[in-house]
Amino acid sequence: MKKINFAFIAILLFSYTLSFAQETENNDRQPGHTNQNKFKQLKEELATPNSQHTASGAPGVNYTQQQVDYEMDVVLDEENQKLSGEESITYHNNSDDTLTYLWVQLEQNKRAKDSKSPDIEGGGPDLLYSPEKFATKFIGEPFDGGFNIVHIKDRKGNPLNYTINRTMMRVELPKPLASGKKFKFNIKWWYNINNHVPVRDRSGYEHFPKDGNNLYVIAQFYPRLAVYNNVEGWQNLQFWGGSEFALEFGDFKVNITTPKDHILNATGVLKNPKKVLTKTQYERFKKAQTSFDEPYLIITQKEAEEAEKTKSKEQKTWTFDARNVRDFAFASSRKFIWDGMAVNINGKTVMAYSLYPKEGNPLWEKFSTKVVAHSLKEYSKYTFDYPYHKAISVHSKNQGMEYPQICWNYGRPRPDGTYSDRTRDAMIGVITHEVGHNFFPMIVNSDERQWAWMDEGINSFIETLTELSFDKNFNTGNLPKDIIPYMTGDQSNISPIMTQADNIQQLGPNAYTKPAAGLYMLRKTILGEELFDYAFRTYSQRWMFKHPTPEDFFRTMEDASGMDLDWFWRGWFYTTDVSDIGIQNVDLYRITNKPTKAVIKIAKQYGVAEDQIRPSIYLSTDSITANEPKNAMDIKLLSNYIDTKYSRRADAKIPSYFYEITFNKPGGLVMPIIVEYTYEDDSKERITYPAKIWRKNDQEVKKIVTSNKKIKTIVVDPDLETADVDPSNNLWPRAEKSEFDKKKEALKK
Amino acid sequence: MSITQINFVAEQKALQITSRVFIDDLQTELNDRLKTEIELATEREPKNIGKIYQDYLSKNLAFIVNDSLVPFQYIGSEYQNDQVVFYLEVTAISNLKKIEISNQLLTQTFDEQNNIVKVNAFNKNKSFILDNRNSKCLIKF
Ligand SMILES: [Zn+2]
Repeated sequence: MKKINFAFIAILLFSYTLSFAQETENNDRQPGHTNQNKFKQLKEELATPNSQHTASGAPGVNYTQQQVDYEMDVVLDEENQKLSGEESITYHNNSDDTLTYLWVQLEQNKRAKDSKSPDIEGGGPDLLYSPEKFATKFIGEPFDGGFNIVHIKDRKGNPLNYTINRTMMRVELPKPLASGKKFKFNIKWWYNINNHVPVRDRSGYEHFPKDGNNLYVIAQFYPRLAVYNNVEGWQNLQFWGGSEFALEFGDFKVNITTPKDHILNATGVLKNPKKVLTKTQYERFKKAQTSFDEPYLIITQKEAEEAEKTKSKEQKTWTFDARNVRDFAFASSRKFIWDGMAVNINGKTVMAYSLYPKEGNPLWEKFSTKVVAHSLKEYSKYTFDYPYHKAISVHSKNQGMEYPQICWNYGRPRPDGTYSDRTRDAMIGVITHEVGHNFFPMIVNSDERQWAWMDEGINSFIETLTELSFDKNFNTGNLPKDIIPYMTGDQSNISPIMTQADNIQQLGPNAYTKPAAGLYMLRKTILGEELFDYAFRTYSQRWMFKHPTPEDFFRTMEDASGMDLDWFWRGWFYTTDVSDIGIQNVDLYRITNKPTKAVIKIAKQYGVAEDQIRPSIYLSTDSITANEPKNAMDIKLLSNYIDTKYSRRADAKIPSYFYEITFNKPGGLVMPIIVEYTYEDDSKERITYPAKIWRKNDQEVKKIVTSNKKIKTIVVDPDLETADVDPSNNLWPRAEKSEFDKKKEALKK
Repeated sequence: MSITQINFVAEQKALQITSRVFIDDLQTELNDRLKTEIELATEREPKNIGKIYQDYLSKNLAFIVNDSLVPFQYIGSEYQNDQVVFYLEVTAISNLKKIEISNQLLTQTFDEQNNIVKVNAFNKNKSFILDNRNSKCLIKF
């Protein structure tokens, strides 16, 4: 009988898996299935690209966007807690469509007596109620904070027909508005200003009983045009209070009349500083604009405390001019201390300001403006140079909320002026976050009503990078490890990130932490900083002052990085699957010339006896038999080959150890396998196998690892980069003591 | 939000329990209930905080194993960033058939409080979201 030829032995060597295939083969017809591969492209989930939102993720040649300009006169009546205004709106129809009506948003109607917002909350009685909550729920809301529309007129003064559908108002156009045309009209309105503190509202006043003053943070205070875009038509989803805003860009000219002793700041350039500021204030206002190192006080605490003592009956009017902003907001009070600092953004000077009452000090004077400045610089690095002239941080109890160039932030020391590290860090965190919203969504203007993650998640991600550059040990709460408790929760209380904002369960982890942690992972672990940053900057710049959709983000990130990320979007954004990769098994093989049992078995199936198998080299886990070579070079077949191919034997680096490592994946998500091997001499080696390793088998994969040193331990995901929910299977050999037992020992000491 | 993880460790016949709550929330709740103005995790924290925690937990967490209320041992607590983690243990459990958990952590002060309870026993995972209205859950094996 002839020796079996080499090609056949090659089959035999590879037939370890083949033999299993043969054994399980049967004749029962298996049902078919659709493509469930985790790497399947996202074409069915994403909207078909077109010449408005293109396949590359950029705005296309036919992309259109409306423009809405406002001229407003607003009066803040502190005595009656009333805000009234008259606005002249110019609507530019830049779309290709003819419009027969306009939709205007009336967010204050959420606070109207007949508001439906409370009606969408289900559930039985609570265990206990505070008196306020009981009154609100069962006695009836005593406060009417809805809009009162005095009139709506066209430019000639003719009344326009309109229909109010709760927080949305449809204004009928006297004649259809053709593409490229504009329509000018006028709305006069007023409403009762609410105390925002007890109900945690975004807009309103806080009352300070000690000195009898109010601190106003006023927003979504005027009827605002809804967005008409290329993907939704009119974005006229009701405002329920949760999901935020969708707004068009435009130019604002706003006059705000306040008590004469108020200090006010707002979106836009203050046009009459000399008129509304005292001579000293004006000089300091100018001086601050050249103070690049430290915040410069425009109004001191002493001056603010003095101003608190009296209440002027006279009024003054502040004039602001804002170009290309999507909204307008302002803050006003007698109590304000005001400081400012110049920030150099790539050669352009931008002002960072803070407004805060004495109750915010000494925390605010120390950190607020500096954090604003730092945030502007860091965000500009990852996106584009901050295009506006200023950013203001206003002290506001209990809330963080963002508007163009101005935002409200919490962080109040104890009454004695001391504060804990937690209060300080929470304040630094919220200011970074709200200032960051200037970029997302104030400039990269995604639709917040639809997708909370596009502004909150993306912003929380850059916020995380910004905080870590402020203090590398900052507890951001947005890292992959931080989302694990949420992702392992009850599935009936988790929504995919790709869920409309009002319908999301657990908004915080879902719209902030999970997308932020995912993007952090994408940058650090999957794409690498260089590829990620280029693609992310491309997205930011493509969609500056425009309305991007999720597709535009997903597509741009792939288009600009050159990486197929459909698997990542699919898993992290479209499912609630978790990440869990473990080490199932580790086998140590030895090199031998003795055929393995598996080879002998297959050879037998082909009628080949063991001694007829052509001499070969084997990696074996069979128990060692007598006469087997002690080391690799004792195998003649190998040493002969090396002697003919290498000039010196030492040049052939033959590994001493051959490990087969089986990784399993109980988690539904695919992720790269990050493995750290620690050898007997405590040296370490780290290897990352790309996520694509799972493309053909979603349950387990094997890897051969060779070395000259024995492996002591293997750890999967040693730096907790992938949100792996079960760390107990990440270690080989398995930890003998559980985390709990270790903690117990430590705590008992 | 709080997260309570309960693991049954058969070899030790024990329920090993970790509970995580936000420090700020707990501080508000404790001050609300005890009519105090204590601070947690700062240099002003009271010296007997372990006792305060133990009292608070014993009033707001209960484990009923196989129909009888079993006391838990308070092992200790530690602060992790903005959270406090409690370590508790229930020992000498024989023949585990069911566990009922009553969890009213933070519900006095926070109307919208969600208390997540996760149970792992016999290689099975189950999780519940408890709140102001439903503060109990039951798992049978
Ligand atoms: Zn936000």
